[in-house]
Amino acid sequence: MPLRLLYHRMGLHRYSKKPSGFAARHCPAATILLFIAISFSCGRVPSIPENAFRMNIGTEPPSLDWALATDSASIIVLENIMEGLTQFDNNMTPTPALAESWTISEDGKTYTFRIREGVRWSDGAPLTAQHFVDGWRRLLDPSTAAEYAYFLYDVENAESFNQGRIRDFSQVGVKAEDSRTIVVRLRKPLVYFPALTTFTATYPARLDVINRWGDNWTEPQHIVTLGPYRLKSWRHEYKISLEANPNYYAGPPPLKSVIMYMVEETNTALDLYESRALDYVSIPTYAIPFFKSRSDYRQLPFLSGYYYAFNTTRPPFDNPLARRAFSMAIDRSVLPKILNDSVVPASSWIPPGLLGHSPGIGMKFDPRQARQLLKEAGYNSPSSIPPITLAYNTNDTHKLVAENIKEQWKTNLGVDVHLDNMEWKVFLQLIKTNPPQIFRLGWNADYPDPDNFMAVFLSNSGNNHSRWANARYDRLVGLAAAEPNPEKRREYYYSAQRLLTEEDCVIAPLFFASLNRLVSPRVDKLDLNIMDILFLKRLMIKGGRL
Amino acid sequence: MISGKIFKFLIKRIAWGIVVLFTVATLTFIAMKGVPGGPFDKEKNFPEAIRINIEARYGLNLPWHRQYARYMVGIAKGDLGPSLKYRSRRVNDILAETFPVSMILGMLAFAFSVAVGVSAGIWAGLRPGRAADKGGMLLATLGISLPNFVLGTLLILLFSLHWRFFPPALWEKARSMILPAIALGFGPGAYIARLTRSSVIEVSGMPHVTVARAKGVSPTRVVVKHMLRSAIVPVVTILGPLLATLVTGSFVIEYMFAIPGMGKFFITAVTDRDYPLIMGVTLTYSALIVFANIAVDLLYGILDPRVEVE
Repeated sequence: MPLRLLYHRMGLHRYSKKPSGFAARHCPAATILLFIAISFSCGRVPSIPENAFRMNIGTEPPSLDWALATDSASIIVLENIMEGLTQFDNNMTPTPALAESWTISEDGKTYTFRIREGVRWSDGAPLTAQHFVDGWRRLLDPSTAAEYAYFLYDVENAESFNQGRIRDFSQVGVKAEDSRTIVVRLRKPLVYFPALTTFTATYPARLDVINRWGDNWTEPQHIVTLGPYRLKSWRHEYKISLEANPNYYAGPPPLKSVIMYMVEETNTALDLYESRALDYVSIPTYAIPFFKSRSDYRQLPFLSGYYYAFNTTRPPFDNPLARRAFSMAIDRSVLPKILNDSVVPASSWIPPGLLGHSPGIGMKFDPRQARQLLKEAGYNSPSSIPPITLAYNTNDTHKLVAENIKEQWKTNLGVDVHLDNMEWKVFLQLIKTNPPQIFRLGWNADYPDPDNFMAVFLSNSGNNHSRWANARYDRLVGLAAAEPNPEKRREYYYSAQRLLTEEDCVIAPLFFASLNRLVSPRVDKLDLNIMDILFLKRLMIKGGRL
Repeated sequence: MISGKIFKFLIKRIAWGIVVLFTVATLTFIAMKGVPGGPFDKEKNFPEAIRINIEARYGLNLPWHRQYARYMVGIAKGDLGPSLKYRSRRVNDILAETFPVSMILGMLAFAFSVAVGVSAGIWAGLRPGRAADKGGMLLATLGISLPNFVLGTLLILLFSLHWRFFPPALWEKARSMILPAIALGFGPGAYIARLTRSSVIEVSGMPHVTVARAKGVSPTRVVVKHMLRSAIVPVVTILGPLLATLVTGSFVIEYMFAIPGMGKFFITAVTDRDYPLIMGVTLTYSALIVFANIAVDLLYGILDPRVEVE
């Protein structure tokens, strides 16, 4: 419970107007502390810096090297100090950024990007097409050991180069035709390729800077960038300060500075927000009811799906009928209640906001039919079913959900499922090597395209731990990725999702998540979006206080 | 001036210290490699080829004995290696940046606990069985049994959110250091108070104290000059390890007050399976314990002439 809530619960707010003599009368220890407090205090309300936006990024960014960054804290910084060929607008459509335009060849396999003229790095050097080629080469180079190198695997020969099978980079399908033109050759047509070039890993690189400073090149005194803000200071494990880039190609942003704190404890962040030391924080699920009715509370959908997967090789779930029975025996409508309205129940897999979202797909709650399916699967009574384990990583939300669904299965199917929670890395190791019969997982979008969600369950996907491989599914998802016609694409995804969540019922989707934030009233034009990408270049501070 | 005896003692203890650190490093290596899951196991898997590249980059593809040899050679040279989580940083740099913060906080907490603990202990010890003693020891028992996160929460609640004297968190000015230092130092302070009290009671019955009193030495002088010197010995015993524990940071307090210290790595390095960082924090902590204990043993000799170094 956040302190503020505890504070209200304990009724302490009633004393907040009383003089501090309260302490002197009621608590001798507090009096001593109070004495120290008074001797140190000079001004009770923290001063609020003007024209600065203060937010919490939750944790130290593991790396500001954009070839290596994979986590949200690093990416939130990078997206405001750097840019790629393209950038999402608020509707998550890729729009021109460092590329002013691009063309697609007739076979859909060649993209030609034209670089914007007059873009300069923070050290004054002009941006050239070669910087992109350098960046992509570095990302794919096996010695860089970049996790997100696979983002470019659909570029011709990129995968082979990353695996060391090709040593000559000129065979990889990216070339700087002149200082302002980049030609990318893909191994197959990809309609969403301009969405991939929004991604931090594909940003251009300055090899001269990287080679000169080695691992330290991302420190503020060395780093060279070209986005709307510059990295002014970085106190590791504590805070990052950004300042407006006066030479940003679209003109400097209205805000003078951004301060990003790394407060890991969500209660602490809430306390800081409440004491006006932060302008923007996220709210943990359990605290939503306390802030829901306030005007600074914002909720919006998030491209994130949560599901239970079945190990399709272990009884009883080697039988699709049993999988369907279990998915059908879940009443998903109770989930928003136990999760404080922070989720939208889901029986299908592609989240709202993306092409192909079809809430009608999936197993609908029907306990009678579910019991019937179980019988058809050959399990006439609950006792004939082998012991079932549901595994999840230790976390309050996961626990709440698992306990609820365990209870539902007990009531609706008469089956007692054993819950097994474990530490995160132990859990990851387990689902990779020996997945239990049922396990929890989630997926947050890397790019706002249905392909990102559907590709998770391809036969060769490293994220498909269900041991399910289906050629028809693979074919449908592949066709959809190359299909420029939205209607046809939607049809492919419709059939693929039905296969995934109904016919073969490999997963039981449970809900789509939401973003829950507190935004200070002094903040204006904060663009929140379903990808949780935070572009701060339009943001303004109105001045004044809460 | 260091006498030959003390010098010999020092050399012997330092040599033992190195053996201890070597053993700690070996055991830590075995333990961390035995835990399932690796630094690059993530919810979003990447292709096997990329895993191979990463493991090659950090030598994680080598057989165990070679990885062990690499660590040991690195440690001997004072290089703790690259962090596997913070991929652009080295463990030495991480510790160099975060240790001073934990040290400042730890020293403050240490000073608070010793000052409050010793004075409360003397105060209570001189009045055994009276209300001040009973009240003080009740508070001390509370201090020992109250976990620091509960105390920290209460302090924030009262002094930040209620009265707004201190910021609820962050590490900016001297003001932001007070609450975490008290939250961290209160428990040890309570323990020191209890220890000092019993030892003061024990010493106050000793012949040399009675003689001093009989000679008409002023009460303050009796306490400071004649009692404290022997009463403080049991307290000094715990000061070394206490200091080492406090200056290496506290996960709970740093987490709760958003302090950029190294305490949090004792937990996060393990959950991240950041092997070099686990090794780094473990060795830093062990080295401090070893050296603090040597310092305490030397201090005994100074405080109590009956103690001789061996």
